[in-house]
Amino acid sequence: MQHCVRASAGATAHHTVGTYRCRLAPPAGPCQRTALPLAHTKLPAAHRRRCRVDCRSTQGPAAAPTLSDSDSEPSSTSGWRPPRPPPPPPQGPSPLRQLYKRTLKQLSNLKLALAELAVIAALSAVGTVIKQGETYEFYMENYPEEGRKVLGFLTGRIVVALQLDHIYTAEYFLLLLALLGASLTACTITNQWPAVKVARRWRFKGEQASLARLEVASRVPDARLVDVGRVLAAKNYQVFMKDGQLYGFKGLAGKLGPIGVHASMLLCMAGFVTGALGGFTGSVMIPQGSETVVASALRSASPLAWNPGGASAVIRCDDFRIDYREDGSVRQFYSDLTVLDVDGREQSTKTVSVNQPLRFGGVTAYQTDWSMSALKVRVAGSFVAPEDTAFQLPMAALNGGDSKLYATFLPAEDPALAPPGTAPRGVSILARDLQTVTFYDSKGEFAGVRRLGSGKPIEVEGMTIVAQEVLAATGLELKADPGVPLVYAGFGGLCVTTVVSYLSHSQVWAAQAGSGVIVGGTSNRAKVAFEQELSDMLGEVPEVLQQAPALVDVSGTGSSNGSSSGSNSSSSSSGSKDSKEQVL
Amino acid sequence: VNIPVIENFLSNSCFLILFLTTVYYWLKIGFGGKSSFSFTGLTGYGSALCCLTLQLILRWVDSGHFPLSNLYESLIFLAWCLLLLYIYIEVSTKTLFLGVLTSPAILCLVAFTDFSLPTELQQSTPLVPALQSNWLVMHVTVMIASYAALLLGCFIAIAYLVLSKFFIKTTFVTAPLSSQNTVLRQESFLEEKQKTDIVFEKNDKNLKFLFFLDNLSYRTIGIGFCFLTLGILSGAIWANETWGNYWSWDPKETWAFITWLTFACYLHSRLVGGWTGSKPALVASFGFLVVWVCYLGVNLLGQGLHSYGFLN
Repeated sequence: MQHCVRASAGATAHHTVGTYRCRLAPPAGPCQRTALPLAHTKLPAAHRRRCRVDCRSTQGPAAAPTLSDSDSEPSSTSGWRPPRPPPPPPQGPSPLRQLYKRTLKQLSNLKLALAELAVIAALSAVGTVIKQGETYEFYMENYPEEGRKVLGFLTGRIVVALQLDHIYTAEYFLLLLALLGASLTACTITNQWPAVKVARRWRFKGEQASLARLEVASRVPDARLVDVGRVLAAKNYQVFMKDGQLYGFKGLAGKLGPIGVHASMLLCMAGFVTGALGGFTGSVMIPQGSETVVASALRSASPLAWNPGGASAVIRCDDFRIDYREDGSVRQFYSDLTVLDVDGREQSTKTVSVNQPLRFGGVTAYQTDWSMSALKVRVAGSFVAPEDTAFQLPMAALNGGDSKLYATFLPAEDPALAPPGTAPRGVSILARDLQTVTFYDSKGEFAGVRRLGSGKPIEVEGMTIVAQEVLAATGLELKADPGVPLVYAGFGGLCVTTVVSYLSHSQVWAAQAGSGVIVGGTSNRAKVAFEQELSDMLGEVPEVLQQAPALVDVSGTGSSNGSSSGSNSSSSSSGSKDSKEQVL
Repeated sequence: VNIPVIENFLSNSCFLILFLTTVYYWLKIGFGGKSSFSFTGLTGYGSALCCLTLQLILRWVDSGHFPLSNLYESLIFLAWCLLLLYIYIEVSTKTLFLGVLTSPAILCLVAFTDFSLPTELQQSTPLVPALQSNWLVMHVTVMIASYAALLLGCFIAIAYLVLSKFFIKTTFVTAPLSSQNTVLRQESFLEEKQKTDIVFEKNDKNLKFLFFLDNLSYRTIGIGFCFLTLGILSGAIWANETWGNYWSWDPKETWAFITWLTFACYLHSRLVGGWTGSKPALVASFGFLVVWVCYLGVNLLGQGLHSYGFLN
């Protein structure tokens, strides 16, 4: 038995020859013997599927070299051998591979994808109607069990049971998003990636029938193929010509764009998952002059999160101030922050404001909130000491709805001496912003307003009070999100590929048919514009009159769905080309 | 220079110009017969565009920040984008009919903006700290431009649906297929109707126009979708720079996402499913409502990062 080397593309696959001949490309060189055994099942898989092994003898002019060409063989391989039985049919792909292929096919179904998009949209809309993240009592109150139920059936219990109060983190919603990701992946593998390979292999169409079947087809009489090519090249087509056939394309990026869109979306999703699992988040209020260890404020998103380097750092708030406008509204918040490392050495300093965060060691600190922590006053005539003394009164937040309201209390008598069950007499001081404070006496009546830092005293409850300064605390949101680079990369890709997808991928085929040229083309986006463009280009092809005009009958190209530009082209073509026939 | 007075004059004159333009288009289509395309209508649109541009520039100078910080300014900017987009379409396609549809629509929008919004919402207010960023220019302009393109495209799709009911009646007459070139191209376009159900009134000019409307709505929505993607992404990046959270399922963000999903469905049904004609037009009509909810509904009704709490 002799063996031939399949001499193509550097493949070193050996397939047996003997009484069988493989219909792949014939071996380039003389056959070489190998020590491979004889059975056909040893063929490599690719060959097994494509090699149509026939049972004919290899004797013949194109047969492999016979035994006499080779070196001396062991006696077992010489002489006549009875014909082998036909080989068993090649084994199909394994059940696992079949399952994989079938799953891919189901997942890349367009109707499934549209249904997924619709359901995700509907569930997202539900989340905007039902307020998210509220307490159980809120839903019981707003979606009552008795009386007039919302929509006739929606009660608080159903809302909570179906997880409609946190629908965006509900398992079924996340599963839907994962399914969408799987569909995107499947679509890319089955449809779009193979399309790239096809798009890169340009193929000529020489037969008039296939040319006429294209979306836009027409015949240009009295023209040369080379002129058509020149006109196309002038319009930025890449033109290939061979043997009286022509192929030109433009805008290949428009065909690759959609693949890039899907790939970018998958990259975004990978970033989301990374951030959701690997991130740290937290918020902290740092009073002026105090510091806090970053790690104490961070909570991990999942057990898989890994600590950012900046978690061991310490942030100190040196100052917090609010820039107010003349009408009292806030112009900007400023915090002077210093980052110290574990040993107390200063690493960096920055003035942080709302759109200017502080970044260090993988952690970012955003200015998102503020509060008042203490009020500095000078009081004369207090129960502690009659002379002017300085106090720092801690402030607490009052639940004043949306706006911030902080208050503190300056007792006028020793609180320990007050009768049990009653509040001591004193002055209530309220502040809404860092500009003014308001004083109320023991009976709760308004006593006066003072601007902080003005030094103007006020007499309340027998005390003379000067309100000096509010010590504020800066509210920082700390985040460490390792998925952000992936997400940004995905966003950037999405921006670029969405725009690129709008390019039309136009292809034009042409063939010389006698004295004229048959031209046809397709475009995947701007079909009407492509028709117009093609007819304009064909109008520019110069007319080349032959000595003996050839009568080429192209009407026999049969019926086709490919329509031409109709009346458009004949009206828009240049004067020399008003005798264009249309192939219908 | 009393800026509020000039602004008032500009908004009133814009309304008047648009009103006259609407009347002109209706008269031209109603009584003009087969008149050729002329640029009179475009002059009206152009002057309205100039009025709005001047108004925006004046607001910019007056307030010191880019004029896109509240509902009033965004509505003016929307009208500006619609006018610009429409002028481009009319110049490139040279069709008068669209003006009949879009000029009353823009007129209504400008009327609502100037006359229905309470005056306190029309004042230009200084920016809150979160809006003091260069991203404001990028994100909001791209979003409003996308709304303009999507609204215009969906509006054309609705017009297509209405007109297709008029032009295509159901009787049992077979159409003469052989002689009309354009019919062959539109055959696949009318696949959803039986061939025997179609009668061609007034030859195939109406069908050609329907096909043109279909194609125009597709292209306009395509541009709008592109801008919408860029707008949502720039909003996410801005949010991450400001609060560290690129997506917080805020109602406005969520509805922008829903709008994006709706038009992704539309585009996929056209590109991959090969739908043409009334089926995608129905999706686009639904999308029209979705865009309005996303743009106005969320702001007026809901809470969240984008709210104005107008109707609360």
